[in-house]
Amino acid sequence: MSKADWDVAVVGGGLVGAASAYYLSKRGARVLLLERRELNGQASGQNAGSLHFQIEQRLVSHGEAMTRQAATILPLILDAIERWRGITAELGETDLDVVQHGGLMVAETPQQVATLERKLKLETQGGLPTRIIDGEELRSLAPYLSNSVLAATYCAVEGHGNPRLITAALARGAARQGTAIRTWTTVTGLRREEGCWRIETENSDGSVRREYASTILNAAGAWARELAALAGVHLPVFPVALTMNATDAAPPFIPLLIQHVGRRLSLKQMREGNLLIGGGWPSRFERDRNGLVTTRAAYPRMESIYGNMAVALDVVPAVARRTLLRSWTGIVGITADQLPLLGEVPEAPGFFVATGGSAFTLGLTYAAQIAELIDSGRTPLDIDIYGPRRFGHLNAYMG
Amino acid sequence: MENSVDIAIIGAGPGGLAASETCARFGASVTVIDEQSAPGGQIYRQAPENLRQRAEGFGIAYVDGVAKANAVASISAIEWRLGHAVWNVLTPQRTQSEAFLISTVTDDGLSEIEAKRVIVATGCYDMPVPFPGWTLPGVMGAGAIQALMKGQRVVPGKKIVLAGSHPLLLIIAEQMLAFGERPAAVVFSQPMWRAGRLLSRPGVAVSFAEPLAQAARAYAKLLRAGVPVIFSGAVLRADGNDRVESVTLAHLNPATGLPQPDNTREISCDAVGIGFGFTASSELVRLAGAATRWSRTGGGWIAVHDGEMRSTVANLYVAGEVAGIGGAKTAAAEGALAALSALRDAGYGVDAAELRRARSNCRRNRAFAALLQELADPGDELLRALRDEGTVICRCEEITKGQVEELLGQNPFLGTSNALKLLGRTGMGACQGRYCSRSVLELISSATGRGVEDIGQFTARPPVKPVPIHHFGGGVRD
Ligand SMILES: Cc1cc2nc3c(=O)[nH]c(=O)nc-3n(C[C@H](O)[C@H](O)[C@H](O)COP(=O)(O)OP(=O)(O)OC[C@H]3O[C@@H](n4cnc5c(N)ncnc54)[C@H](O)[C@@H]3O)c2cc1C
Ligand SMILES: Cc1cc2nc3c(=O)[nH]c(=O)nc-3n(C[C@H](O)[C@H](O)[C@H](O)COP(=O)(O)OP(=O)(O)OC[C@H]3O[C@@H](n4cnc5c(N)ncnc54)[C@H](O)[C@@H]3O)c2cc1C
Repeated sequence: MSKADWDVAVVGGGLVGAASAYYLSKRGARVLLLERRELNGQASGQNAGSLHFQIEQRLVSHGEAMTRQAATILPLILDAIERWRGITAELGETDLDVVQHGGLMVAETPQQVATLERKLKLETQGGLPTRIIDGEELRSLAPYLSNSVLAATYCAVEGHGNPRLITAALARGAARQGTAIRTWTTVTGLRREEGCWRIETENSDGSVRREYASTILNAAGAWARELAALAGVHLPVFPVALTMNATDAAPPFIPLLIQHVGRRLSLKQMREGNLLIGGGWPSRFERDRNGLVTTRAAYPRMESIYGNMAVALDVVPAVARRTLLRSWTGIVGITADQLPLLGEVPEAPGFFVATGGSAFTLGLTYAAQIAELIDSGRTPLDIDIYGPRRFGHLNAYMG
Repeated sequence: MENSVDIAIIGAGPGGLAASETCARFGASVTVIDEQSAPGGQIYRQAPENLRQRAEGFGIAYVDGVAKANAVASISAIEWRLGHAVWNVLTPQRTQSEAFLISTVTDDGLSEIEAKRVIVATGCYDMPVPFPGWTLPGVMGAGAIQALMKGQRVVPGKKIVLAGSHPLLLIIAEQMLAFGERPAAVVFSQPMWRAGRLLSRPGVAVSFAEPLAQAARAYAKLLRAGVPVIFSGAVLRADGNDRVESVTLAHLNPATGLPQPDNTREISCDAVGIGFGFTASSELVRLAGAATRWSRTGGGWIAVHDGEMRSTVANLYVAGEVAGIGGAKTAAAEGALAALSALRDAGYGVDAAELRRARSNCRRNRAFAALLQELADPGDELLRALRDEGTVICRCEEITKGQVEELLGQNPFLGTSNALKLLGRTGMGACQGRYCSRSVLELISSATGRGVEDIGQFTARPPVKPVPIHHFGGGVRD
């Protein structure tokens, strides 16, 4: 008999952690969700909310091999399209502001158009409903685009979720199903003991606690590497700080998600009327003697604000009539090879991880897969290539 | 940093002006930045050239203050950036250079100023107090009414009700009289005896004879002019179709200080000025990463500083209301002190005796400031009692108190200002949370029992003032 208090302790109260807790408790597991600060306080609450299903700019701009590798993610994408479509009803909510009215990835040069075509081929092979449009069709679909846009790939199911709302709704759902949620609680120690994991936590009021779980799910986002180290293993997940911008509210005029294939741009209009403008522009971390300070908000680089606004103005000239209301930052965890990291760490039995970039779009899918893997040992989708096994060389000598 | 100045001063009110004068005296290169087109700050706010008549209506102190501000403005060693709103400040650590980077926006575009040291003297604004009808056109901060009078020589009504708890209401009402408008009423929430009790403390009346005499003169003048000055009262609501037409005045229970709903009357009016005190404009301080602390009666989140006005960020200094509401004389005293410590840190030979004098001058003024804060404090219970379920808390996003409470009920893990902003949009608008931060704090506190410091404030983010995006059209700046 195991002395575990919990079947699964999920560490990290972002979208991935909250969704995992939801799916696990739905399957009847006794789940504990631990969050160092507040729910949704990090990347999941600060991101752009794009539901981007086309292969991403950051992945197609690094050459042929990377683009092909990125295409392996399409089965997960197809799963995500359906999950986002159903999530509002699934959680018994009335409106989580999930919009799937379509998205465009635009090109402004002939080379960029060629990249679109290459990308389109892979997407078509993978079963993603994308097509290329230009000329009259493009203008009538998106009259607000500048004349510099030569062509775009159109994916009718893209759109956006609302980072403000989804994680809180998932947490409410998890709590209804019996998940115990503890915020302001940092995991400070993990140790394998008699076939289960001993978890040490520290609350912000100073109190410490020790409890046991059969399984740990590392959903600590940009801090997944630090959490894994507590369990004695290496996971190459790196914190990256990005910039987002919001304009004042405008009457609705951009129903689609706009992305760029060759420049850093994502642009969408939220229902309150504000435009959200991002696209992977860097921010800076504070630094101290230990290196990067990832526990405080990063600050935007001026170059990122200027640069992002300039691209937005080039692609959607009407942005010139808006005012910049706010620029903020968020910290996302990126794996060394940019692919998701999903599965059990072979060197640490019972220690699972679910993270990776674009975990807003793919977060529900990551969570559903990992919940099923933990519960049944199998997953419907083939996620083997995303397993921590691929970094086994880092853990071969870990005791 | 070739182009960086020794000291940049943000804010050309009494604090910033005293600082700039001191810096210039020592021969430091100094740039003064203010979004207004003329120096003077709030208290000595100037009208455009063609409207400068009747300045004496604001009293001799105003005339003198403006003259002083313009004298400082003519010091040729100072570089002026008027009409420049600062929208971001990056510290040297963050620019990875020797200098702060200050980003400004004008009507014509964006510009940047590099400075080795920065003094923030950004002042304060009317403390926002939500109550039913406070978003109706015509309902304003009392300070904002005064700003219209000083800045545009406009009195925004013929029957103005001034209400709140701050003695400045007396001065504003007196200034209205000077401009030929008789306020419909001046309403204080305090009982009449409260002031007397404070003033009867040993030493108080003597030390603060001048401001007290000023207030007493204003009071007498109002009574002579037949202006009703009401104590133990509060405006419960403002009503009107397109703009305010009347307010409901409640008598406050002398024991509890809270409104008695069955003891009210209506006053017809065409504008309302609410003056319960001021909130420090500390957003640039916070943006630069310097610590602030909560001061319930002294301006909300105010800058933490040492005895010589150094903030917690190296080479960043603070002066005036941003370091705690204290009035113009305190601001000037702190401006001079902040400049002296910046100069000394920069290697200028600052005389120890001068520094000592500046310090004790600040201490003396802070003692008066503390008294004024105590006198003006309406008490949180009263402010809480003024708003009901339907009262808008966040004006920009139009979120009501009821909506905030519902969110807090549904999401028991919500415990910080930032989290409420994220889920509920309070503080997401153009004002950067200036209007709602205090109410948000109070609502979270009563729902969760968490302390103010734990609930915290909205993370300060650029731009502090909205920036028209067409200004970015010049392409990427290196
Ligand atoms: C500016 C920006 C824009 C983005 N735009 C998009 C987009 O448009 N579309 C998209 O798909 N993706 C986008 N992303 C990426 C996406 O936001 C993230 O991939 C996703 O939110 C990650 O979710 P998460 O739950 O893994 O991490 P997080 O939301 O960061 O949650 C991790 C949580 O773990 C907690 N934690 C860490 N260590 C511990 C510990 N020891 N104990 C307890 N708790 C701990 C943290 O406090 C944190 O709350 C963007 C990211 C950023 C920063
Ligand atoms: C509307 C109003 C009216 C007032 N009237 C009186 C009065 O009549 N009598 C009295 O004793 N006290 C009055 N006060 C209190 C008054 O603020 C102080 O007495 C005194 O003006 C404080 O001096 P200061 O230097 O600290 O700040 P201020 O005088 O407020 O000066 C701050 C300056 O900083 C500038 N500034 C702020 N933020 C930025 C930015 N981001 N970029 C560029 N510039 C910026 C402002 O434009 C302002 O000119 C008033 C306050 C307000 C808000």
